[in-house]
Amino acid sequence: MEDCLEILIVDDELLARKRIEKILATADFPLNMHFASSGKEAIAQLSNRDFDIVFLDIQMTDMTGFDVLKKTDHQAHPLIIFVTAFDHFAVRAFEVQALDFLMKPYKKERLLEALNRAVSQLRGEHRAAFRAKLSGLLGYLEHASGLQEPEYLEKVVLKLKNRYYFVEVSDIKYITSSAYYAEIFTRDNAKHVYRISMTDFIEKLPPGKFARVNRSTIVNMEDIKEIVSEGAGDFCVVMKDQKSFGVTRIYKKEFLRKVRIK
Amino acid sequence: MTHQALNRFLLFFYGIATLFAVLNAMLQKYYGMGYSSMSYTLLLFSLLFNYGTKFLFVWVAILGTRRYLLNMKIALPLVVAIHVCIVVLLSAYSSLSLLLFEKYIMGYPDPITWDALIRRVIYGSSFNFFIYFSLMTIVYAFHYLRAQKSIEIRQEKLKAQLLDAKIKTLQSQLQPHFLFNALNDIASLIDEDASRSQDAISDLSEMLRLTLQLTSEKLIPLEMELAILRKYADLERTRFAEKLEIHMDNQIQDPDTLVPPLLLQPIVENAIKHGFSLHVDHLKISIAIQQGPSGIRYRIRNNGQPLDHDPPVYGTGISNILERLDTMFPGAFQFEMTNTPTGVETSIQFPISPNTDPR
Repeated sequence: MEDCLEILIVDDELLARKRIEKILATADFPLNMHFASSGKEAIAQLSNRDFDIVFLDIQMTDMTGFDVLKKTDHQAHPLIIFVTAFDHFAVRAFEVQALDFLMKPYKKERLLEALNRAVSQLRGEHRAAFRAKLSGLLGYLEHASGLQEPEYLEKVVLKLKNRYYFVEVSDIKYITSSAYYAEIFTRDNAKHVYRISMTDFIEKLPPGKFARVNRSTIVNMEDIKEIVSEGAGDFCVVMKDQKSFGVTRIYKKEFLRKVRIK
Repeated sequence: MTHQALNRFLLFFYGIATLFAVLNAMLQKYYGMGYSSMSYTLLLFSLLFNYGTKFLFVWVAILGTRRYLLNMKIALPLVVAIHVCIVVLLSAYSSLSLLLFEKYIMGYPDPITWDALIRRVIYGSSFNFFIYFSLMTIVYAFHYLRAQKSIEIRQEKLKAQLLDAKIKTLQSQLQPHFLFNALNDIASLIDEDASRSQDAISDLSEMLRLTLQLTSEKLIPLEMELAILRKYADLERTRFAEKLEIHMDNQIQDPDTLVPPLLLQPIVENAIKHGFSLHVDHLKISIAIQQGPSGIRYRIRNNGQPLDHDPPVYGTGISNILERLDTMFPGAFQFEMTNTPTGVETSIQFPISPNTDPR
């Protein structure tokens, strides 16, 4: 290796960058190291210069490493070595694409091994294979809504005047909207008013339990008594408390998929 | 036992007392011991009138006691005095209604005079006293037991919520992202500065140890709450270095004051988790703790990403804090999480001595 390799180290934590720097300094070939302390900086660096190898942290404070890749044009195609503390989802993706990644904290040998493997792949045909894997990874991630499993509400905290009420999400039968409020109906036959939009609310509810049936109604699937076909492809849900709601066209497909009826 | 059950029991008790009085009077008449001037029907009617009017009065007194007297904090002698006055009124009311009954319904010729009224009051007062205080004793016993029960329930609830909080905090402290990044940073720090890396290991251990030590204690010294926060803040400062500033401003008179555990750390953690964003790469968090005669106030401000909902939709960490505060200081605490022109501010205020007995 005659040329000096251009390396970019991307991590939002100073000490994490330093650790990579320290270990790379012991490599037996010359390296030219650059640093980025955020996703934004990484994007700027990547568009200014061609790098051979990039050490890319996945969870950063401003964006993920994948966001960095999506936002840079891949003219230069550096080899990427992903670095992560813990990401179920990303690790699965790397394994699917057979991409190399480092789990923090890592041993010196492990990092040097990843470096050596990357250096050996810098030649033409390997680069093309790597590029294919990388686009495979980004395609795989495209289908995921986010990197982390989203957090769903367990309890809804309501404040009425000076009193707090804690409604267990699993006790909710259905939610209907009126103007700017959501009305929560619980199994103990109480009604609570909550200031949130239906679209925001459904995002916070566990998707395996709740389904939206129309613009103004979300139901707990465990509280559905029956689903009645009204002909012409129209459906309505009847709840265990005899309340019924029509299923409108835009929500029908998703709703029927959730309750597993074709 | 519900309020309805109490009502039924009081009615039953009074009904039995009435029945006994009627039976007693009938037997007296039968054996020629009294009431010879009245027919059985009239006797029954007059007794029912007497007990009925008395009961109306007593019932109003019971309702008033339950609605007002039981909810006020009044010294016991005063309560007894109030009830004695009510009994005197009861006797006067009962005697007057009996006199009126006798004069207008039964047609007795005797005029209704002060003298006649006072005689009647004296004559009937011991019985009135007895029946009134019997019923009131039942009411007080019922309410006492109920209050006792609700305290027990609250204590149990608090224990469960606390355990939950402890588990949640441990989970977040052992949260892989936090833990593995911290360990990776410590690995790096060993090369940079051996003694700082030792400090970081000690901080991490101390923080875990302090959290593990929280058993089911409802309250901990303020000092300990701050120690957990400080260790956590130091670790996060080590991680984010120049990107994170955490300032603490304490105006504490008594570090031994007992406070609910794990309120501060989850809020600061929340600020770090949600504060950084595409536009905020340098997060400043300031924590102010004020102790005054009426209680303690925590204010945590950051310059981070604003809340997407205002008022916010509280996640598990914050809703656990709210639930514990609500159990410990029902209606007597304040919690506010709002957007400010410069970021997000969380403020918690609670009285120093909670409503539950600290153990």
